[in-house]
Amino acid sequence: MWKWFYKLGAPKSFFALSGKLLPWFSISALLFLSIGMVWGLLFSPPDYQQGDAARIMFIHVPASILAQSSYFMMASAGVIFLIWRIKLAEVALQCAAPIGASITFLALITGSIWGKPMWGTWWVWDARLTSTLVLFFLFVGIMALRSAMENRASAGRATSLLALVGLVNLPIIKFSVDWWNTLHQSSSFSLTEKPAMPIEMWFPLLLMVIGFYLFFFSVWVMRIRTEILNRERKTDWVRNLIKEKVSHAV
Amino acid sequence: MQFDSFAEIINMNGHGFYVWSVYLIGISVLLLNVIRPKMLMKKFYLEQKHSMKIQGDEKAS
Repeated sequence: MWKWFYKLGAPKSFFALSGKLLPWFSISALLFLSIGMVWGLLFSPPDYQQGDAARIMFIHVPASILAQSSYFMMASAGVIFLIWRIKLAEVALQCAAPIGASITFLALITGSIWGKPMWGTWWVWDARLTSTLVLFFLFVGIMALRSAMENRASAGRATSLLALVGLVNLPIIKFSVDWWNTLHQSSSFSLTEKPAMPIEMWFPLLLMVIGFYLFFFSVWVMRIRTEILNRERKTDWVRNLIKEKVSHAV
Repeated sequence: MQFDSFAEIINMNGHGFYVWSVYLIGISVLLLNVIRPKMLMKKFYLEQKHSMKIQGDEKAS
């Protein structure tokens, strides 16, 4: 198990394995997202209270779930880097930050647009919204910290620590609707409990959540692969790969 | 299908502006996340191709 773990941590092995898996992830993501989106937009029933505005849920809920999960995955990569000094984990952390920031931005903006017809306002300094905004700033902070530091190892340690400290925000986001009186409704999507919505709405939402996760893994791997090539460009295996690519292009 | 006409789909019972802008922004964010790493990869290969060409020219001269 550990041998396999360390082997996967080697850039060359990861590059080879991810090259085989990436098309499957990408095609699955495209399928799940397309079916989920069309189903949610056109075929799922309107909500009995919110009407057709509830269709915003099919983008907002998966984006919000993924925003928190992507932060957790990024921080886990930071922990792996701090404990085992696996360089690939540091690459994974750096590559997850911009994707996580964009997904958190999507969660915030779609929530704001949903808030206007439902609450009558684009924004309130409610606990759920504010803690999600803090999550966005954490992602941006990690990107800024990385670009401000020249030394890769120091930047890796600093960003890993920041990601680790920021983990405290995740339970705050999750339980904010229970701990404080918030305008934001409590969670209505769960895999472990009986759905709080009709199955005709729950199923396309499930497809979208899976689609968002597959999408995240696809673009994360794409970024990691490019970063690996950049960092390993002087090694024989990358030089051979470049020669192969160039000769194919000619 | 929950709608009877194309106009109903666009209108979404008065919520069309909110619903469609969310889907437009959503698709744009997802697309940008795909385009950006593809561009970075393309840029990498172009730079390497360029530097290999320079090295080849230097060797030839």
